[in-house]
Amino acid sequence: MNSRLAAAAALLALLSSPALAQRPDASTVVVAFGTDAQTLEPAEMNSRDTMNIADHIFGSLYEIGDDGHLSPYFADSFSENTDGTEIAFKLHPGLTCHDGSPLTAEDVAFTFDRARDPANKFTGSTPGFVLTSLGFKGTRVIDPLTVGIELNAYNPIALGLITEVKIVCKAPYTKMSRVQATQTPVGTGPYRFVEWVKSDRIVLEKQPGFTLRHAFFDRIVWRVIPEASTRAAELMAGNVDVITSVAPDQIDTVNHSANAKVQAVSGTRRMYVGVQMKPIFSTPGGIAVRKDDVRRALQYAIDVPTICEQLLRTSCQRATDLVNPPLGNPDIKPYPYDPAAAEKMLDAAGYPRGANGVRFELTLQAASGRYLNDHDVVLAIAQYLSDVGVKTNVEFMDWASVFLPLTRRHEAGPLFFLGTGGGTWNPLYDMADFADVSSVTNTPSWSDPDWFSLWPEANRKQPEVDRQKVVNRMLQVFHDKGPWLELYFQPDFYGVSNRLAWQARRDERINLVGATLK
Amino acid sequence: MRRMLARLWRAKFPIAAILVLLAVTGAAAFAPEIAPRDPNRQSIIARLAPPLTPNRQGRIDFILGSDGLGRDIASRLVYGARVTIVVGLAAVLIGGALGTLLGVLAGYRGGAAGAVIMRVADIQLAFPFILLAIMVLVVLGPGLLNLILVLGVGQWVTYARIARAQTLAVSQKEYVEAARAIGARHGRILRCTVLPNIVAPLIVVASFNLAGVILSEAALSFLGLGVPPTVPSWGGMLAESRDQLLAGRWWMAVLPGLAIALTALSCNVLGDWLRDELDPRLKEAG
Amino acid sequence: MIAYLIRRLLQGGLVVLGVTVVTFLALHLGGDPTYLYVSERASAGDIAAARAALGFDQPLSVQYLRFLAGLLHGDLGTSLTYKTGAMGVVMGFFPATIELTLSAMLLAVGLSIPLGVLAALHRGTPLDGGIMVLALVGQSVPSFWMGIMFILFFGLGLQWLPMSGHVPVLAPLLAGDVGQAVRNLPQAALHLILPAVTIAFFSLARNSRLVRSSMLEVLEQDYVRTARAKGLRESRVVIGHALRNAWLPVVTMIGLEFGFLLGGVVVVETIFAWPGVGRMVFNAINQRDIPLVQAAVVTLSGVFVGLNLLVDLLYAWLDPRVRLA
Repeated sequence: MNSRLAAAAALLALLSSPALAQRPDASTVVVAFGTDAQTLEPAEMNSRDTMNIADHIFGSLYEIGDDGHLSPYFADSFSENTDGTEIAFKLHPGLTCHDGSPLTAEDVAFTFDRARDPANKFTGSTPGFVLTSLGFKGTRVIDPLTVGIELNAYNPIALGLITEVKIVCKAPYTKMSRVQATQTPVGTGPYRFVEWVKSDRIVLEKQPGFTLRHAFFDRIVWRVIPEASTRAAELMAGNVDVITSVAPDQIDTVNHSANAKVQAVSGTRRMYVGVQMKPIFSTPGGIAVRKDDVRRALQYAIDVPTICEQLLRTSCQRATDLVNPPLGNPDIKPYPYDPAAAEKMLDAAGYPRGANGVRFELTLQAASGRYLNDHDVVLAIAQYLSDVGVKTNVEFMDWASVFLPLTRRHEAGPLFFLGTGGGTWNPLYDMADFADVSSVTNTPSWSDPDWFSLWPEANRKQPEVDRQKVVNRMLQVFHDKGPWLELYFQPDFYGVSNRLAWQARRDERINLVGATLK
Repeated sequence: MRRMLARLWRAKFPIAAILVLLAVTGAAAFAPEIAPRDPNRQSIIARLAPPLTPNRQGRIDFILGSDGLGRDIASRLVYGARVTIVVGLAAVLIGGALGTLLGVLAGYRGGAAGAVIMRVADIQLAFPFILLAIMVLVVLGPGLLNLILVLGVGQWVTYARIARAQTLAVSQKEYVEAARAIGARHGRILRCTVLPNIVAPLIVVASFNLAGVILSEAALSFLGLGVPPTVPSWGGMLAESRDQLLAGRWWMAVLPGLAIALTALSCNVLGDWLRDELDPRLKEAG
Repeated sequence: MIAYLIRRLLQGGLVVLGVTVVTFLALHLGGDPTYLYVSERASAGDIAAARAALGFDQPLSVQYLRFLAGLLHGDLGTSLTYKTGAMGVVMGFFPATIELTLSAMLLAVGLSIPLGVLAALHRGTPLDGGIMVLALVGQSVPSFWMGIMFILFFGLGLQWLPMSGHVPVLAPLLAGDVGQAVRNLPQAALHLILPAVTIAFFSLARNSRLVRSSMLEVLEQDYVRTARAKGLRESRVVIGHALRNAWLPVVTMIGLEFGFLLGGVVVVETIFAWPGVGRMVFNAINQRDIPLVQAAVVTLSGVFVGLNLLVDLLYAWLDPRVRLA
C-alpha cells in the first residue's frame, strides 16, 4: 500500500516538475528542421541544411549578408589583377582558429587547395560545383595577411562563388583523421562545435574571442524533427524557437497560437515546368511542345497566382524569366492567366481540339514530397493544361532512383516539374543553369543560339551597367521562347517564436548570429 | 423459430462484420454508380471544405467535405474501397496460395526441398516485414502492382508454417500411410486427406491477414510507398491528411481512418468467429 | 546440446548472409546512386569523379565481393552519407531503438498478461467484453494516426507529456557512465511513454486476446479442476498452475514480438523524432547508402536469429516435453 502511494507521489512530482517544461532558456536558441546534417566536413557538404549549421562554425572570405549583397567577412577587401585571373584578399588581422592558432593566409590557401586535391576525393559542393564553376587554378600566399586565388579565366561571379568556401585551419585539419573531421570539426567562426547526437541534435556554443560579429545567444541547438506536425506542435508549445518548412495548411494554426508566428519569404528557388527540347519524344504532344508558339500558348493556361494562394497559402513572386528579382529584366511582365488566349494561340499553332476535346496529350513527370506541396501543385497544373485541351497525365516517380537521374541525363519529359536554387547577388548565377548547351543543369536540353551566342558578351569584363544590358536581352529571349513554363519562386515558411527577434532570409540560409530576444 | 433468432443474436457481431465487408465490396464494385462526384476532379478554390458546408447557392457540394485539392472525400472513400478490396484480396490470395503450396510441399515431401523452403522462410522472418517492403518498393517504385506483389509475397510464411505443420500431422496418420501402401497417388492423398484439414486454420489466418494487409497498406502509404496519388485509396487519404490534423481539419483523417478501422475490425471479428466455429471440428478431425 | 547450438549458429549465419544478398541486389537494382551524393549543379566531370570515389563504377559482382571480404573481417564499409564507419553509425542509433522496443515490449507483454488473465477469469462479463472490444479496436487502428493524435492531445493540448525527442539512458550506461544514465532516467521515461504506447498498442491488443484464449484453454484442463477441487486459493490456481502452462505460447509471442515491433518503429520514430535505427534505415534506403543499409540489416537479422535461438532454448527449458530438433 505504502509503495503504491510513494509511486503515485513520485509520478505526480515528475509531471509537475519544471523539468517537464522543455522551453529553452534566455541564452539558448533552438532551431528544428526536418533532416539531419550528414557531415561536418566543409568539403563534403551538399545540403543547405548542413551548410546552414556550418556557416555558424566556420567563416568565409566574403559573405552574402542578410540583405542579399556580398560584403566583407574574414577579408576586409579584395583586388583583382588586370585580366581578372587572380583575386587577392586582404585578411582581417587578429583572427584565430577555435584551437587557438592564428588564422592567416596560409590557412585560406590550405582550405582551397585541400578541397581541390583529387587525392582527398571530397564529393561536396565546394570541390564539385563551386571550384569548378570558379575555374579555380590555385592559391598564392602573398604575405601572412594576403592570399591570392588564381583562376583559369576572368569570372564575373567569382566573388559570390568564393563566399561558399568555408575556411578551415591548417594546423588542426592536418592532424585530424578524415573521420574526425566529419564528426568533430574545429571551426573558425562565431560558434564552436560542442556535440552532435546523430539524427537528434547538434549543439553549438558561442566562441569567446570572435570579434568580427556580435552573437547574442550563448548556445544554439539544432534539432531534427522530421514530421511537420510535430515540428509545428513543438513550436506552438514554446519548446523550439525557429522551424523550417511549415506546411502551408498549418500556417493559420501557427499564427493563431500564443507562442509563434509564421514568416513567409519569397525564396530564391525557381520553380518551373521544364520542356524537353531534345527530340526524344515523338508523340504528337512531344513534338508540339518543342515549338516556341505552343509553349508560349501554354504559359497563358496556368493560373499561377491561384495555385500559390490556394495551395501554397501565400501570394508568391511570379517568375518572369529565370532570374531572382530584383536582378532580372525589369521590363518583362509575367504571363497572365488567360485560358481563352491560350486556346486561340493553340488553334493558330495548328492544334485544334479533336472530337473528344483533346488537342494533344502530354506526360508531366515529377517527384512527390521534394518541394513545397509539389504533389498538389503538379496535379493542379495538369488540370489547368487539360482544361485548355492539352490532356496531361501526371507521372510521379521516386526522386532518388528515377526522377533525379532522369533529369540529370536530360531525358525527363516531355514535361517535368523541377525547382533549381538561385542567388540574390548576381543574375549570371541564376542564368548559369544554361551556361552551355552541354551543362548538366541544362535539363531541358535547350540549344537556342539567340541565347547561347550572347554568353561571351555577358561574361566579358565590363561595368555592371553594361553587363545588365546584355543580360536583359538574354532574359527577353528566355521569356519569349525559353524551355520553361515559368511558374513562381518557391516561398519559404519559417515558424518563429514570439520571443525571438529574427528575420528570415530569402535564400534558404539561416543566420542566427544576429538573432536576439525581443 | 425462437432458437434460430437466438442463434442469430449470439452471432450479431460476425453478422455485422459480414455486412460491413459486403458494403465495402459493394462500394468497390458499384463505385461509379454510388459515388456522388468524380473522385479525381479538383477544385482548388473549394479545398479543405468541412463536411456539409453549403456553397454560395446554398447547396451542399461535399457531404463529407473536400480534401487539399478540393476533391470530394465521400467519392474518394467509395472509390478507395476498390484499392482496399483489390490489394487486400490479391495479397491474401497470393500469400495464401504461395504459402500453402510451399508449406504442403515442405510437409509432405520433406527432405531437401522442405529444408530449403523453411530456411528461406527464416530468412524472410529475420527481417521486419516493413523494412523488406520499404526496400523493395523504394527500388521497384511504388505502384498498385508492386504493392500487391510485395504485400502478397510478404505474407506467405505464416501460411506456409501452418500448412506444413498440419500436413506433417496428417501425413503421419495411419489412414494416410495405409492409402500410400495400397498405391494411392499423391495427388489424391493430398486432395482427400491433407487439404480438407488445413483449409480451416488457413481461412482463420487469412481473415486476420486481411486486416493486417489493410493496415500495412496504410502504413506504406504513410511512408510514401503506396498506390500512386492519382488513385484514391484510404491509406493514401490518411497519408495526405497528416498535416491537417494539427490545423483541426479532422474529417480528412478521421473518415478514411474510420473506414480502415471498421474494415480491419470486421476482418478480425470474422476471423475470431470462424476460429471458434471451426475449432471444435478441428478437434474432431485431429 | 553443443551440436544443436553449433548447428543453429551456422544456420543463423547462413540466414544473415542470405539477407545481405537480398539487400545488395535490391538496392543496386535501383540504379546509380551517385546523383544523390553530388551538388545539384555538379558538372559531368564532377559526377564521374564522385562515382569513382564512391566505388559505384565497379561491376556489381566486384562490389558485392568487396563487401563480403569486408564482412568477413568485421568491416562493413563506410557510410556514404556520414562518411564514417557504417557499423559504428548503426551502433550509435541502436540504443535508442532498443529502449523504445523494450519499453513497447514491456507494455505489450506486461500489460497484456494481466489484461488477458482478467478477461479469461471473468469470461462473459462486461469486463471481458470491454477488454475485448478495446483489443479489437486496438488491432484495427493505424498506428501513425494514433501517434499524431497522441502528440496533439497529450502533448500540445494537455501538455502532460513531451511530444518529441529522446533522452538517452542505454547509451551512457553502455559507455560506463552510470551516473548520467540514472540522472536521465526520469526525463527518458517521460519521452518514452507516447512513442512506446503507440507502437505497443497493436501488439497489446493482440497479445491480450492471445493470453485470454490461451488461459481459457488451460483453465478447462483437468489439472486445474483438480487444483480447484483440492481447495487451493483461486490466485494460487491461476498463477501456480494455469499461468505456468500458458507460458509457452506467450514465450513464442515474445520471440516474434521484437520483429513485429521493430517494423512499427520506422513510422513512430519519424513522428516522434526518435533518433533510432528504424528511421535511419528508411533514410539510408532512400539515400541508397548501401553500406549503411547492409550494416543495419546484418545487425537486425543477427539480433533476430539470436533472439529466436534464445526463445527456442527457453521453450525447451520451460516445457520438458519439447525436444530440441
